[in-house]
Amino acid sequence: MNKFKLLLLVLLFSLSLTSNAKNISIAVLAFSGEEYARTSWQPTIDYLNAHILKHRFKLVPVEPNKIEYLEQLVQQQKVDFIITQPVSFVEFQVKYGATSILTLVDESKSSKFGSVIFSRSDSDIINLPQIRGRSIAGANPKGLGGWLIGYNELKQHNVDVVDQSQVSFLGVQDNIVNGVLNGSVDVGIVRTGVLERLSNSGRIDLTKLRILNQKKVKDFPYLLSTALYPEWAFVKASHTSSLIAKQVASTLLLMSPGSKEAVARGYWEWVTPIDYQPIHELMKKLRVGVYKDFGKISFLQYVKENLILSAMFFIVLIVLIMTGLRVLKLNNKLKVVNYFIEQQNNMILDSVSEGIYGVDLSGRCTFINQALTDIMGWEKKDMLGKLQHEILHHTHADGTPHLSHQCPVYKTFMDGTARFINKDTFWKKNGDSIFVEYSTTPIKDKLGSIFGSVVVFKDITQQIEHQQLQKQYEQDLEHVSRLNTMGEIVTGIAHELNQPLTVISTTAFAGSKLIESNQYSASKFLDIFSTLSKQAEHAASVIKHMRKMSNKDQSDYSLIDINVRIKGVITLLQSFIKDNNIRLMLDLDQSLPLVFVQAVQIDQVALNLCKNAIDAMSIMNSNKVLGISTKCLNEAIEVSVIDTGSGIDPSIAEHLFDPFSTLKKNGMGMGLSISRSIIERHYGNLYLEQSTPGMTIFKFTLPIQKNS
Amino acid sequence: MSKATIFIIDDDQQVRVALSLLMESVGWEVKLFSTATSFLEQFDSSIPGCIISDIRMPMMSGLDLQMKLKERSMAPPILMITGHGDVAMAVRAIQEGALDFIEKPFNNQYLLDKVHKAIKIDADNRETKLRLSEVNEKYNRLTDKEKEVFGLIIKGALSKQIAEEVFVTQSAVEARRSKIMEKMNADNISDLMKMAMTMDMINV
Repeated sequence: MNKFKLLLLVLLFSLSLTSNAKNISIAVLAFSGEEYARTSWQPTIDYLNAHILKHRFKLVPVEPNKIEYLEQLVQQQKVDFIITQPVSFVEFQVKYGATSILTLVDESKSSKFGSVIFSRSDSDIINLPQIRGRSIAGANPKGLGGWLIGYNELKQHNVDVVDQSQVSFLGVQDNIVNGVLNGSVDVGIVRTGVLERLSNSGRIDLTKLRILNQKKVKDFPYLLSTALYPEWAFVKASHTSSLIAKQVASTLLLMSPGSKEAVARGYWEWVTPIDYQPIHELMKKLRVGVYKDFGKISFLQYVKENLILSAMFFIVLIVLIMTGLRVLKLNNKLKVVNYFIEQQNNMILDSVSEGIYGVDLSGRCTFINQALTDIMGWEKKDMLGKLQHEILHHTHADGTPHLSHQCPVYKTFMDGTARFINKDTFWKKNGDSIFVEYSTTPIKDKLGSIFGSVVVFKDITQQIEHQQLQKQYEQDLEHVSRLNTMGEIVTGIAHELNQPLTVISTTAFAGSKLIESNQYSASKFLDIFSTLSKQAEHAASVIKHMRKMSNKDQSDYSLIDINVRIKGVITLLQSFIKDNNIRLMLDLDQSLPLVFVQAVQIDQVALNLCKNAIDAMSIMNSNKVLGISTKCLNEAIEVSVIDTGSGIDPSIAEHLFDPFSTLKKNGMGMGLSISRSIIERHYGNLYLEQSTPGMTIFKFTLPIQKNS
Repeated sequence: MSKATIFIIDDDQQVRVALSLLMESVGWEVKLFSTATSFLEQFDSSIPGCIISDIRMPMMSGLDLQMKLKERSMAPPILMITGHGDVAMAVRAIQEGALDFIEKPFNNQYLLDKVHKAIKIDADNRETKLRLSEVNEKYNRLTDKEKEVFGLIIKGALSKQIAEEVFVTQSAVEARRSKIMEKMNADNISDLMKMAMTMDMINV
């Protein structure tokens, strides 16, 4: 023990060396007046001054009614330590962050105390519940032992004394005892030890009193009705340096128990602080002092007391509210956007000119757009949920049924492949059919599995009618051009036809003259009849060619020998060739394969080219040659038409194949244009191979049909 | 005088043959040519007859042939063969002196009639030409003074008028007149008038 104290001294010494000298104020709560406090506590202060040389300790006694003054001093840091009772300590602790560094041990060597609740021994009050409705006396409302502890005990026994008229606070505790004894009050509450002190001094007779709710606690020497609570505390203000606090605490701890300094104030010694939590609990329960509003704390107060938490709470609240508002706003916006998108989708769907509809896996229509209704006449009520194939697609254009398993829309969601159909028939509500081209595209969900298809279609009826008209127009134009060419060569043809007719008529006439003159012989007549027959055949062939060329509809395809056709064309042109003194040179490949063509159209091309060649040489006097050759290329036959005319000017050659481009005075300018379109329709080429003075070559090719 | 011959010129052999058959069937002599050029090369003006020529032929046309023949002293009349639509050429041929044109196919009887007529014309032409040469020959035997009186006689002048005109006596005119009659081998004034007409000295 001595060793321990020596150690503390050394520690104390070393601490005192490092601290700065300072005046230290120690306030004490003066219950019994300033004067008594000064005299009774001064020895303790002196003891500190004696042992802690570095600082000057000064006593500041404060009476309980000046407690607010003390609080000011603490706030202004003019008081460093406070020696006070537990309730007061709790107030400083809660309000100003003060801490207890020591707890006082009283004369009875106990660091705890409680209350004694008593009545007169002849009173009818023998237990706590009986106090209900009776008068009761305490020291003062904030006094612990002389009121609060006892009052708490009463409350625990459901005895509430809210009626102020019932309760009287008598200040000095002796008065309470006397009050009970003389019957002015029914019950008294005093601090433990008071009764023993009065009894020991012979001022009261304990037997005249009845202790209510008496409790026995081991090592506690006094009469007791309640739980025990910690004694007075030596309190350090929050601003006081803990170094000084340690010096003070250790110095007082070293004070000898029962020393003259302690006895001067009536205590035994100082010990390390014990738990003051029971005081807090008591004050909370009774709503005393700082805990006056405990349990009914105002919002504002709570906020003040829990500023950071509240601020955080508010921030969180604001954030939550803002987030909520934002979410609400976004939600609204989303709704608007959703609505807008939906509207826009509908608008887009309805604004496109193509008909659009959706089909589910069962082939039922899931949506249609306005254009579909406009084009087909079918409305939503006609289509939605119905089998689209049965409505739109049931029959081919030729009247044969369109089987649903052949429907491209079905095939699309069967195999997941998008399709484009360039011509098909859809049926309108009024029973008419239209030609359509359409695409059908599979629709897939997020996982990629198909749940239907979308069909986008276009009415191409007009387009197809236009194509047919165009074809008709081309055919008409070809016919007109052909007739035009025929018109140009008609004198030649007439001449060509006149020759055999002349020969026939003259020979026949001569024959009859011979018979008249009886000069004939059988061999002569054989010659005559042979001539007649040959000439008639020749005439017939010319007529046949002419009729073919003049016919309007020449769209039949057939297998032809191009050499035969060229000879036929030359028949028509024979007189022109002759009259123009043109030498005809034919170089026809006899092993040409047949070609599958519209024969008369090809004749027309050959006739055009030959006629052009003849015309090109008309103004020349000599060296006029028309050459026609045929030969077999790899996959086509090639026909060349050659003349020895002056050639075509390059600037004209450029536009040679344009419609209405002509080198002739009375030409239509359609010949080459139409010829080229005919050859191209047969997948061949027609072109000017060469054109120089003295040698112009046009060529055309026709593909050879491999399988025909 | 040799026999009348029909010269047939056509590039079409069949037509040539048919025409020759026709001409032969009525007994004419026929000569065939495939081109106008070959005809001209073998042309003999002494052979009477007529020409049947196609108007459209390569190298030399019927019209060209007609022009060439005009240069010759004695050419047979030409019948032009035309096709359909050759009207313009046919008209030109007529203007240039062709006897006629015959369109193919022929009206054969008409053709034969035309051939007959042509041959007759040719014969007449030949006779006229013969007479003219005879008259010219006689006329050229006259002296200049006789030619002067001849001219006045065919104008119908009397001897007295002639005497005044040529400043000689009337008896001298009479002497010249008888000399002219003798030289011209004329019996009377009428014969003289015919001869004058033959020589184109009188417009009828």
